[in-house]
Amino acid sequence: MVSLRLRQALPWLGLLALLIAMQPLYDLLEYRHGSIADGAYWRLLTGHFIHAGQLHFLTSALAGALLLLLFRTVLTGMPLLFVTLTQALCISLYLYYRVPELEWYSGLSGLLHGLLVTGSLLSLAAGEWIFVLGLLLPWLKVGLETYYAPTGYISSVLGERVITQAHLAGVMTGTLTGCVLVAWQGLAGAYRKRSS
Amino acid sequence: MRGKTPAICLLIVSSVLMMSCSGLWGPSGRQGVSSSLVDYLYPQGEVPPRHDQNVPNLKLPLTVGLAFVPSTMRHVQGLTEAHKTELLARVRQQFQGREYIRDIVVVPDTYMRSSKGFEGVEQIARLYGLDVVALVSYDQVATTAENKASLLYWTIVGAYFIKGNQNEVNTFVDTAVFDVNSHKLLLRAPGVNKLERSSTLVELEDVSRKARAEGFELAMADMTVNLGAELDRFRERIRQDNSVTITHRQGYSGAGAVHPGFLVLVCGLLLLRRFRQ
Repeated sequence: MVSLRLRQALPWLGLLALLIAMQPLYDLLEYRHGSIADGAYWRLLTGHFIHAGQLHFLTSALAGALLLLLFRTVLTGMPLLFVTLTQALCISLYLYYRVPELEWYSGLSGLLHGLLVTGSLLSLAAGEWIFVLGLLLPWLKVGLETYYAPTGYISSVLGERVITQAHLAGVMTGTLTGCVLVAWQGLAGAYRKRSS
Repeated sequence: MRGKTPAICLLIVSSVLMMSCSGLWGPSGRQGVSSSLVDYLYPQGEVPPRHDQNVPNLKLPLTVGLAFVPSTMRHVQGLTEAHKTELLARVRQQFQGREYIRDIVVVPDTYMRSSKGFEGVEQIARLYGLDVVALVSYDQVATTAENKASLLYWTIVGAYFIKGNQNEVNTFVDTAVFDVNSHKLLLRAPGVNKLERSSTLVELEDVSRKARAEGFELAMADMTVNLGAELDRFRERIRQDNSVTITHRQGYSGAGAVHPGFLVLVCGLLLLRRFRQ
């Protein structure tokens, strides 16, 4: 039983170790508008996994672990990888084109907002109605952030400016990818029924 | 009767001398100091331009300059250069911690005196790299009047122990925040204070000076509170109307931090799911 749990936890521990190892490479991996314009396109994906400090990283890692635990039945494996990469790319493209004056950005929170919404949509589709909260509250949060931070960022307890546009982009792409996945699952289910 | 005449004369003379003594000691009546924002910005009596079509564009985050409008009087009692710097440092705190403000620079009075008008403001703005300037103007009137107890000043000893002078200090300060490029007034916040202090004749000068300094301090504290509210309203106004446009300065950057509320929501969902299961 213990060895099974350990085997299940190993990939996640490996991912955590990878994330920790990535942090010193911020110069190479961080989202930087100028560098992306010069062809460093990998930063569109990797920028989300770089953090401004240890506390920033710890809060992101904690939130990420809780989300993985919450959606372990509906969002795992390839769908999780697809959602993560698609959302990371979409959020970065949103920031690149909609907020071109944003010189650099780091952190997982935009992506976490997206994952929460996508996971909630998938859980709702699976009949778990409590996840209507996981869908509506992030929208309410980004709505309030946009309302109260018309400048596009708010002060942070961690000492960095919080780019609220990233949260907005996360929730938007989370809703879109969630809808795509729900539709895909519906179509796949219907196909399986027909073929059986 | 003839013997009493010198005594009466002596009494009259000494009374007159004592009255003149009390008249010589300390200021009485009204004294005022002020610095005029309009006189400073429009020294030649120019008419301020209309701003109907002129929409200021603020590049966030802003660098704010903070200065007193210089008075025409070289030395203002109760408001020394050191005191001014100290008061501006308190106002500075009100600007701090706002995400749309990058830096707040206190501009010394000597820089402000060197030139007048918006040309002078622009020179200082270039020197310090300011986007907006917050100019603090003031008007203070100090009134000193003698009450009935001042009759005892005639005894000379009374001048030391009887509080026969009533000092009243009325202070008004006003902070006006201007956009340097468009010269448009973005917001203003006033602060008022009325202070009353009684004193003996010999303490009059000292008490009056301290009351003036305290008047400035309290009026600035009142203004600082109003300024905080005005800054909040200004942020709301940016969102609601088009009186100001906003762009972000190159080099604007930040992180995506997880709000504690986000963690609470995820934990709440986890607990709800477990409870339902």
